[in-house]
Amino acid sequence: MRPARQALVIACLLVAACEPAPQLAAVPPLTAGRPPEAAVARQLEEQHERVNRDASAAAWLRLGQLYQAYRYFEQALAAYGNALQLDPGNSEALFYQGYVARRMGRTQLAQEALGAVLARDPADLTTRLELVELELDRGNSRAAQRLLEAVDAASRSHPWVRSALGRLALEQGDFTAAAEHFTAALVTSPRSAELHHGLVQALRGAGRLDEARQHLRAAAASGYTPRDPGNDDPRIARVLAMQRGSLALEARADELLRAGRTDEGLRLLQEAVVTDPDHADLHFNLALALQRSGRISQAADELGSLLRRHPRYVPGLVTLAQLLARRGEDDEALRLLERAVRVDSQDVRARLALADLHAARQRIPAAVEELQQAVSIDPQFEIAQLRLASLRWHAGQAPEAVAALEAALAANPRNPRFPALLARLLTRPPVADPQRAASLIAPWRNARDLPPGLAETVAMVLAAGGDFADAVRFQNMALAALPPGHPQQRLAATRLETLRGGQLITDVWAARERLLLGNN
Amino acid sequence: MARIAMLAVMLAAGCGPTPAPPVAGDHPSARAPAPYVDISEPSGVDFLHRNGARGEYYFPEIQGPGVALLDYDGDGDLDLYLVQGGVLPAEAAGSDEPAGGRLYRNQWIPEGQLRFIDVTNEVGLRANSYGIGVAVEDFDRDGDPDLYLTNFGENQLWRNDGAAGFSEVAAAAGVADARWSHSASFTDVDRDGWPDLWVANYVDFRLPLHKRCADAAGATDYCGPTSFAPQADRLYRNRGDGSFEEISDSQGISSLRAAGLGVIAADFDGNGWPDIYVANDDMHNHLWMNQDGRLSEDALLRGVAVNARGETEASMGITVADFDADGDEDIFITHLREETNTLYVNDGQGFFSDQTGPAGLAAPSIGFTGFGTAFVDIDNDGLLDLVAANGAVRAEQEQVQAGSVFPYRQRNQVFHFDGQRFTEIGASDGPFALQQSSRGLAVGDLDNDGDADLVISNDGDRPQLLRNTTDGAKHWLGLDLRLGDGRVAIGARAVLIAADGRRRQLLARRDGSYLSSSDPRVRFGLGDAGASVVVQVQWPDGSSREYPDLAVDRYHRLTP
Repeated sequence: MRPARQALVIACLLVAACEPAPQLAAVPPLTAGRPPEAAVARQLEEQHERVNRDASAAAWLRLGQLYQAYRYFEQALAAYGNALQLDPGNSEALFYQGYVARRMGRTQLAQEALGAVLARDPADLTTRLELVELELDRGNSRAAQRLLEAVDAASRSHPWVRSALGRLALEQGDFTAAAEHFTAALVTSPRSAELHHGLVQALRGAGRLDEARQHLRAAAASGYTPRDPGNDDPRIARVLAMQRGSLALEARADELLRAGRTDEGLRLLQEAVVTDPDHADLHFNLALALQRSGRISQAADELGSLLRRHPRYVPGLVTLAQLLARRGEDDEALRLLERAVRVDSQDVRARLALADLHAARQRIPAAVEELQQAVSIDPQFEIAQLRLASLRWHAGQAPEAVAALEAALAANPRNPRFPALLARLLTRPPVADPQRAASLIAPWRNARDLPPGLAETVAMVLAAGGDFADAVRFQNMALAALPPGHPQQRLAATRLETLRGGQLITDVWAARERLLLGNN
Repeated sequence: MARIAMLAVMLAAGCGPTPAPPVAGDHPSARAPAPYVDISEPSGVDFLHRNGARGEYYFPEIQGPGVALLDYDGDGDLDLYLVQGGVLPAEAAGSDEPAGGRLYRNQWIPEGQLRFIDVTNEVGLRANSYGIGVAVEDFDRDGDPDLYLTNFGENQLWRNDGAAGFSEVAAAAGVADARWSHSASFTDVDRDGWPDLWVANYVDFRLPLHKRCADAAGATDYCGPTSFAPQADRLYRNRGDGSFEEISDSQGISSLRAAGLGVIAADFDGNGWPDIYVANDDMHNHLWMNQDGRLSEDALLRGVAVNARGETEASMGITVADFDADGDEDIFITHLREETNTLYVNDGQGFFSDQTGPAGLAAPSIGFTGFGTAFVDIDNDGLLDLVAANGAVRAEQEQVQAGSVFPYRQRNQVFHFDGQRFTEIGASDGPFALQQSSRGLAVGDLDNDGDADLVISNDGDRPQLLRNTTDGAKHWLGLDLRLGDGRVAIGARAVLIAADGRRRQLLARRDGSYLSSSDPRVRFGLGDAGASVVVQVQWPDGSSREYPDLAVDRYHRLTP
């Protein structure tokens, strides 16, 4: 959109739109101080034009949906109100009015509107559940219960119906019934945070604390997500689908990606890029999402496209270089990274990537030089500190590796990774220093609950000092802290066995250092 | 051409009726009055908070400020400390910008009018960082309260040396946390008699990391917590020699990062050790259970990490009290608009259930973003009511439209408790009908007349001093709980035993709310009961003593 036109479009939204019929309410205007992005302004303007041409209930309804899509709730309510003025029986407008009113805390209006929708269609489950939540918010448990009891047979096993019944059972102290509801609902919605939380509360309310704790761990390990409103009802999905603003699309895409709905998330990000092709961050985020989903070549194409538009965009240069290096295109990767450092010599991630490339080509001094630069720019850049120690260690420069970690520790006295790794290295020749290693783990000696990696470090250092009894205690702690089925469990168990046998077999423990030093 | 004509039509839209004023919530009971009058103007408190907002949308601009009530000079009345913000970056500040938080001495004269005078320079307080919050405690046990200031920048510890004024000792004491801290709480985690310090840290925002954030429509607005990396809280053990030792690592605190905003200490499971509850912004809240001085995080299992729907909420301020008089500490947290505030009811064992809806607190809070909060008996009827200081973090459209420079104002709320449910009052008239961008809330009896006055700090605006007008209409009992050496006995539990054997308990505490510190004295509202009462005090060292025949309508200083 040309600037002049864009200004006009925004201006038109600043002052209330429309020329409403006398009985209609004005839509509260948006203002000059905070204009929406151009694509949103354009959408709103076009719909205002339609309303002015054809002030029908359908046109007002669509305007309300658009405002709702961008969370302009006051404007949405006014538009829905006008739709209902023109067509009092419009169930969709009533539904949206109630839906928005509930989220604004206007409970009376929400109840009237949603109640009217449900009266017309008692099988409308979304509306019924909205009313249930509304009644729960109002503290009317009995009304919520009645609404749930009237659910038709086909919907009784719906996960959100079971969830609401479970919450009501919790409120009444009927933990057995609550656990049944949540367990049943989890069969169809196994990643729902709402259901996992409810089940945990039901189990512990019933005195089954161990089960509750176990369930929490299992749920956390599998990852769980909040309820997705767009997945439940076509009316809500329709509103979300109206979003054309790149930032709204990006936010929605992010939600979908986090919920594991990769294809839908990528599609929305691609839409966002089309909407705002000059927005470098959008291209970059799309490339990252493609990369995370394993679409490496598409990610590289996207980054190439980004860099054609924004050749000085350093994160893009670095990420593309890393992708190319992984494909063996080292020369091109090196060229991109050198360009990135020329564009911004203070960018520590570019220097880190450059160091990695040098290291991969066995140009260790050049890699060390880049890492030292990165660390001097940002002394708290943990990955560069660890990488520097790693390079030194693998190059057989054990004292220099220890010195690098000591420097990192001095600069970051509160980061537990540095003393932990340093303590591990100090159990090994040629830099073995059991006393210093013991002093490094001293702050954790009395701990009863440590993350598994840290607990294992303490166990290893204690074993190196000959204190196998305490080492076994910490290794047990590490094992207990690992969620069931965790890939590290077998190795942790093997380590425990060797410690119980009074042995510290270095190879059994070295994997951790390899992980910390080589793959961070 | 047609398009221009259309625009003209749209611009001409003086057309339809004026938009209705926005209504956040529609609760008719809110029309009943709240017993408060605003005395800010005549009080002499001329403080104006500067957040530095100039259109850059730097994150700290919408976070503060806090407020503290403390008797810094030991003259028996509450003085006032107000946290000041500043300009970002600091070098952009003009020479005329007011700098630093201000300390106001209470000139209270019995039967007279409340009046405060600024004594900041006189006492040597030069807290010139970009301030966020404040915590108060006599950390060195020399008999006067000290100030811990959380900043955008290094935190400061101002030691109160009585007549010699204040001196800044954070670095020497080892508590100059450079992370972006918000609320802090002094509590004796290891029960060695020395108050330890918990600092709730927020996110890794620094000016070079500043970025543009926007609302759903792409309009520029302030960022939220997920835009930056969360930070771990810190726990400092008081060594008893004027310095602290950080024990976050050994207590497992460093490994949990979340955007901490509010913090409060209370013994939730009744084992005699103070637990720590942290309100995190848009992340699980944390409950650190204390067993013999060892902490472990257990919020999910205990039901206070998320709400009843399993949703993570944007938690801001916290208050804790035994509102239902069943002998344990319950929790109330304020949240973002479109979320409800949340009431967690304790089962006596430190396990909680979300009772927000049944208590009548869900629906009225959906339209508001709450920060400071407190359980407080506003009318001395013997039941604890609730106050919430509200203010937006996303621009309020109608204020943008009205040309407001800082369109983040909302009304504050008072919820009256009738023993079963809370009902909002005071919304249609008086100080709670006004819209402010409120953040901090401190509660205390400014005029020593036995009722709870309020001080609310407002972002980018003047604070509000709200005097309680109950004024002896109901009976009350005030307790100033002190240890043998005269220090305030933070954590001491006062149990009022009624003639029929019923018990009500209150804790001596300063922490909680949001970025703020309150009057540690305990006040029981007694309604119409004017006979002398019996109180049992459980002291922080575990000892207990009964104090019979205490006369009502006055403060008593009790010692173990």
